[in-house]
Amino acid sequence: MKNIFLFVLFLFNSLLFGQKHIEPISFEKSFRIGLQTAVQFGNNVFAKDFDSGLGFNTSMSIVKIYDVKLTFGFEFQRLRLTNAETIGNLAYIINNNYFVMLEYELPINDKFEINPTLSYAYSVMNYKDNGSILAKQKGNEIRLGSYLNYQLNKTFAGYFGIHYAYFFNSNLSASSEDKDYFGQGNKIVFSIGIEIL
Amino acid sequence: MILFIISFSCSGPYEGESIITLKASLTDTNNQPVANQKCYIGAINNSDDFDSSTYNKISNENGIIEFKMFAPVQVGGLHLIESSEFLPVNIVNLSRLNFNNVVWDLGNITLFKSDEIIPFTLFLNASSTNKIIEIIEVNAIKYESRINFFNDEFYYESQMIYQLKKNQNFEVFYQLKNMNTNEIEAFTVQLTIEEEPTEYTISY
Repeated sequence: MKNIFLFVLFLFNSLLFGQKHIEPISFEKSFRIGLQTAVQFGNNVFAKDFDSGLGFNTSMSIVKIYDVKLTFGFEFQRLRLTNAETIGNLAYIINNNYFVMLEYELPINDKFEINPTLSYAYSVMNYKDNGSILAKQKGNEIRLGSYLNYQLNKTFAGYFGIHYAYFFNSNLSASSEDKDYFGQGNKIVFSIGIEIL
Repeated sequence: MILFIISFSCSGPYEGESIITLKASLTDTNNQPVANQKCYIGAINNSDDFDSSTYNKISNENGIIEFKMFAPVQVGGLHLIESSEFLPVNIVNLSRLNFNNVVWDLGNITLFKSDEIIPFTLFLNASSTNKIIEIIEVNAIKYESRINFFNDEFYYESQMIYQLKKNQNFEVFYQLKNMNTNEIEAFTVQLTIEEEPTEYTISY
């Protein structure tokens, strides 16, 4: 995890200072809104005992520093219980993520652009029955991936995103076996939506 | 902003940051395991969020009931539902104050049939003005429909009824305190109960 993080920082640094004419700070706004789903994997409760359904994401970027956008956003993902034997006969988890993201703009041609991203999210897991919250967990998520943007016109672009995310909860009080099973998760998030420039 | 507020309100009757194993061993009065006994967990928090449907199961063939669950935020209870054979038992006041690790082992719980028990009535006859009764213990095989795990009930009434297993020898232990001299007196009374209701009076 640490090596991947250092590699990405190195990559960003090279891309930033490998270019001859770099814009300084600019206040260009852009706004993303779209749908997503996730594929959970690994030996953890989110992969083994829940199914990910459709989610929602939205983000806004208001400042760009040398082609790196600083973006803030919110994400909503629902996970449906598939195994009541594990942690109770609850119905689903609502996972709300509040994230800050660094996005690099890498044009391919006039229409296509890749945006590699690195983000950190404050993650809230609400375990619910069909109406009320039964329990709440708070954790962290590190996410790495990219968007592929297709410029539709001067104002709108469509995007497709694919991101790897690692969730961890270091505050969980449990046996060491349960900490591993309930306190971390891995997923690939697929998203699609519209970016307003 | 609204979504942000909603996600930070209402935390529920369980503590999501604490995962425990709650277990108990169920036996009958002959010390045989009781299988297929229906049990559920009830939990409540300070905001009166209550749940009794998330954790329910039956005991296995060895009489073991075990829940992997979120710890109750405030207090929880293990409830053994009345069956065609056994009387119900409710073990209440289970909280993180009572346990110092992630395994909440309630130990052995004996289930009784209705024809196995008979009432034993204990009367308190207070004629002394300077003595109070501090402790009363009925050390017997007895049925309690409600077991207060925190055991902070120290109020004794002038008449108390216990449901004891028939045909046993048992003892009543009690302790008096002289409020003038602070002198403590302890007494143990050996008793027998058979097939008929029995009484005893503590006079002081």
